[in-house]
Amino acid sequence: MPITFVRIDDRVIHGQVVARWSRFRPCDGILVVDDKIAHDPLQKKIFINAAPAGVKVGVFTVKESVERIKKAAESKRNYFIIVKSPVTLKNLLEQGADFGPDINVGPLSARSDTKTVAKNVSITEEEKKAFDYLFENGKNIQFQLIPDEQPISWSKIKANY
Amino acid sequence: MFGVLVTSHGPLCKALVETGEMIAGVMENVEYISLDEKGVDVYSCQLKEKLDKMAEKYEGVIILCDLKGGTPFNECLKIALTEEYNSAIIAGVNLPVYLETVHCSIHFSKDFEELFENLKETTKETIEFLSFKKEE
Repeated sequence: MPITFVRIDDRVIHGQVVARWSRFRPCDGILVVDDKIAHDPLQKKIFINAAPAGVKVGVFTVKESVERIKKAAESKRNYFIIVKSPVTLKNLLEQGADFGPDINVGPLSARSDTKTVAKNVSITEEEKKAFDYLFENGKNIQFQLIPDEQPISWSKIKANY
Repeated sequence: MFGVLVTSHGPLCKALVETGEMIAGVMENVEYISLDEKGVDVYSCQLKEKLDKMAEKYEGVIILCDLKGGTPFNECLKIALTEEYNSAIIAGVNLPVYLETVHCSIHFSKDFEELFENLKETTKETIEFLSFKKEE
């Protein structure tokens, strides 16, 4: 099970990931999938530097990631996949990436066109549709900021939109 | 002299500075900023303002972050990489590292690499591991 954790988190790699999740699930590497970050040398550098001890970080576009995820899944190492939005996972799925059945959702910050649906989670109409798409494709979507919290499923969260 | 900025998730930075005062007295070149429930955007603005001011006042700023890869660290790194002034970041600060950094910031402000070497040497033995397993 080389892809050990798939997370949607608009802060990408930060305290919750570094100090908690990477200590709860096996993690040798983190694949950050985001077209914008992949094309922004400054942001790329920041997240590569944010890696927890002993963990390597790679930042890739959606297009590059399809192959990267396949390679990661075939390797002996354990990988996390982190994206900023459910739309990225929808794109990955549409392009044939296989990242396993489970999706964890962390913080998604409030923006001008979002509705708050859970603690620290606000989503746009487009993101809601992307969650629905992932759900319809059999993904188990759980909202859980840190491992110590109880997860809440998308079907429950959706009712708050 | 270098300025020292301590930053953390929540109140750790404030507590470090206040605890430091109990041991070493008030340090005028030290400031702190905490990431709190007001969120990242507010934090980021305040951080930039503070660093700009400190950079004007000192030869450079040493930033002490609580956690490598945490949001305060990531935001500091962003500013350090983009701004023109001298800065250095140390992540994983604790009380001995804080006290030693403040000491160094006043007593020798040559270049950061030299300061780092000195800090590594003086702080590496400040964590002690003692176990006392009692026989049944």
